[in-house]
Amino acid sequence: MTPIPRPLPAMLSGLRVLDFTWAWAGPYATTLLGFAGAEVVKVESRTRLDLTRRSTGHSGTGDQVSPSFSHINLNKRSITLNLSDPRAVALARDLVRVFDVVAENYRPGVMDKLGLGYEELRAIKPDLIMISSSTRGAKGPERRYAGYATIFASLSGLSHVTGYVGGPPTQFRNSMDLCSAHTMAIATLAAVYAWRRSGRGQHVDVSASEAAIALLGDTVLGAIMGGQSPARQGNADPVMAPHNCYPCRGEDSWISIAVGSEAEWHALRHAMGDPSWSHEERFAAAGGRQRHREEMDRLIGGWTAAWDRVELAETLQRVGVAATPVMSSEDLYGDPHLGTRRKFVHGADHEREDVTVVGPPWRHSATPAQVERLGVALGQDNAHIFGEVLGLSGQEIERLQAERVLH
Amino acid sequence: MTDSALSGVRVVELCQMVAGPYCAKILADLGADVIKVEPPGGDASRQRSDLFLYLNTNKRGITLDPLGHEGARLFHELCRDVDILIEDTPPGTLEDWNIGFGHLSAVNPRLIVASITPFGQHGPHRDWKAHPITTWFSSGEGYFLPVPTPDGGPATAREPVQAGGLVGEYRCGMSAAVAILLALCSQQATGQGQQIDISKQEALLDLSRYEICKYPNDGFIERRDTRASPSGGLLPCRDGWVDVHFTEDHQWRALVQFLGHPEWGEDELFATRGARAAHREELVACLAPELQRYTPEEIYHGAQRLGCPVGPITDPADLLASPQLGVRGFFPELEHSDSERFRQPGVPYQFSATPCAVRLPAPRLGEHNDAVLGKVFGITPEELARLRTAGVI
Repeated sequence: MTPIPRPLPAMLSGLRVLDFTWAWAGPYATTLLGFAGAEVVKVESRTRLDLTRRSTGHSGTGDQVSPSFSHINLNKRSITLNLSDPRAVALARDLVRVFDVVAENYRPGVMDKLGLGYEELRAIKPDLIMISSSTRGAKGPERRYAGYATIFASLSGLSHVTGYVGGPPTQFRNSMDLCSAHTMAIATLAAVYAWRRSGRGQHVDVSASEAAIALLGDTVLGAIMGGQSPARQGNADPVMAPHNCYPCRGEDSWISIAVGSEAEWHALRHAMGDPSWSHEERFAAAGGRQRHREEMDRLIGGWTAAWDRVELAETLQRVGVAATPVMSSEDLYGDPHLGTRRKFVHGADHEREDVTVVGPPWRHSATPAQVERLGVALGQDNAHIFGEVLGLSGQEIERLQAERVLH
Repeated sequence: MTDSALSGVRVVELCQMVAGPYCAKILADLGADVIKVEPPGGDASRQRSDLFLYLNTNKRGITLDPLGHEGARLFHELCRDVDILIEDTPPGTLEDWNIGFGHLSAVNPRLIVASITPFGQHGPHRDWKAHPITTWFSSGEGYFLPVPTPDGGPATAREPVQAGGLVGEYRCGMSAAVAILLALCSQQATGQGQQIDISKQEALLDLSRYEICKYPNDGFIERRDTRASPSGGLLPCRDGWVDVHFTEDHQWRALVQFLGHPEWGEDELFATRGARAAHREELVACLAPELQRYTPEEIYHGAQRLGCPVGPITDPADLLASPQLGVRGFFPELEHSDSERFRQPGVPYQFSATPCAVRLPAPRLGEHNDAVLGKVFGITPEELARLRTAGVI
């Protein structure tokens, strides 16, 4: 009989991360590690509440309710340390001794000023891995400049190249922060892998704006090689046509269709019922369809407009044409495919009985990443971390709380 | 030479175009030994040199068609001693040639196989066809990215517009790289490999997890016309645009100080975040003529130095001239096979102990056939010649 294999430990089982990050990018970077079983302890303070704990949602909820916090801070513990008090800094330094990774995304220089810079922490824990992420990175003339997601997109060129032909540029929001989070996670994991092999820790300096440029590398290189400035092109592709979003039945209802080969063009034409215009010479080859794109898109849109977007996508997929509805959050939540893949996870967080979050972005066959904890109340784990990990007595913890050190 | 973070990690890449190659490039730039396997006709991205040259740095390249009996045998051999296989073939393709995860892990239990496909390895849309634009619009952000219309008309009056460049595909490769590094840490601890299913739709959806969950949690559907920013935004200035933030009161005061109107910092109409949101029209009317006096770069440096977060809308063609990026060495110069030298974007992180850099240009087609297939697998020159004639390599 084949022995039943023992379950493997979580991918980052045993890895301890002391998390000084805040806002969006840093916290989601450590959540990515937490999905894989790292023990992430978020260091917070009432004196400087995390932006996502105090942001109000569209429904106008108050300061105590945090609609965004739980979505980007999963699987974490929370402790409070008022780092403007030197006793809190001393406790933070005590914690560093028993953690493997320190993550932070303050402006460069802030951690040093607090007495928690890499050189000082390394003196306490020589093999420490420290990850710092900032808008421009920790060196260079712009190192102290501040930025949010939209600014990473501005500085990278992404805003410049996104928009209608002849229209203004486009602002990108939270998705840019979550990209930056991925870059930070990549840097952390590479450093962890090297540390486990060699025993050596290190400091990694991540630039969020460079992380955004890296995702546009071919556009930037093309501009360098060709000496030309790229323009906003709507949905146009240099090769494929048709390649656009077309209206469907209902308000703000669209389908995206892309044709990458002659076989796909024939399949689309056939699905449309072989209208006479589609046989015109000017639409016969991709080059012609490119040149007469506007006219062609108008004609295709005239056909799609009578369709339901989901039915049309299914119809086109059946004949081998790449098409998907332009999916809203409602479409995604109700999507049978994502339903089969159990994309959405339901549970209770520190504020609400019933919350839905998105599960981890990938599926590992042997050591699945998981959502284990949704949200966490501020300082919820003070007793555990300061008591059991640092060995402070209950009385001491109470006193430090009363004196606003653990605050 | 000091080891890189991933020195000694061996990777086989069987991918084309953007997502898979970008994922493998991330690992290669971190020091992994990546062998890129291309069909004898080459990766389709070779049609666009900027794309291929950026996405395939620090890799070795061989040609091999694994979808055939002889090619599959060689491919199987190639994966015998490596840590990671990254592949982007349609689900089931490798299994058809006995080189799927089950077959490969039977001889190499350490192997991590990451499959990157539009909709993942199972589920009703598994076999759906996709191009980058359809993948982008299947994942949420496409529906609510607030792209301003040229005439200032309602956002939903026109078709939604995708993100520029091939950003969606890069983001999928980035997500896959995190997944692979996690599995690699697991393999380091346990010696066990595994299979990773990367669905591009889910990799992208992940980045809008908060916006998307407003629907199940609050019944609220984010759209292009629901996203007015209460605390800043894209505003026109002289010869361009700036992205301005004044979420915090001190940021607002820094901005108006730079613009020479410190009195607006004290004006009750704009004194708090709530007041600025409530009087946005008046606020923009005040700012607009003042912003026209400066270029994006002037506002960027001037306001940032006073503490207001501002981003200039930057043309990618201007990035090479950035003093900040220059100081950080973000644009390494590479010598390509035709001895042409030019700079290209490098890596977004600097490691203090393990070097990470773009050093080697993308390989020519089949550049390392002899070195990899000949030296590593001991295939004789005669055999190599035969395989070449037979179209296997």
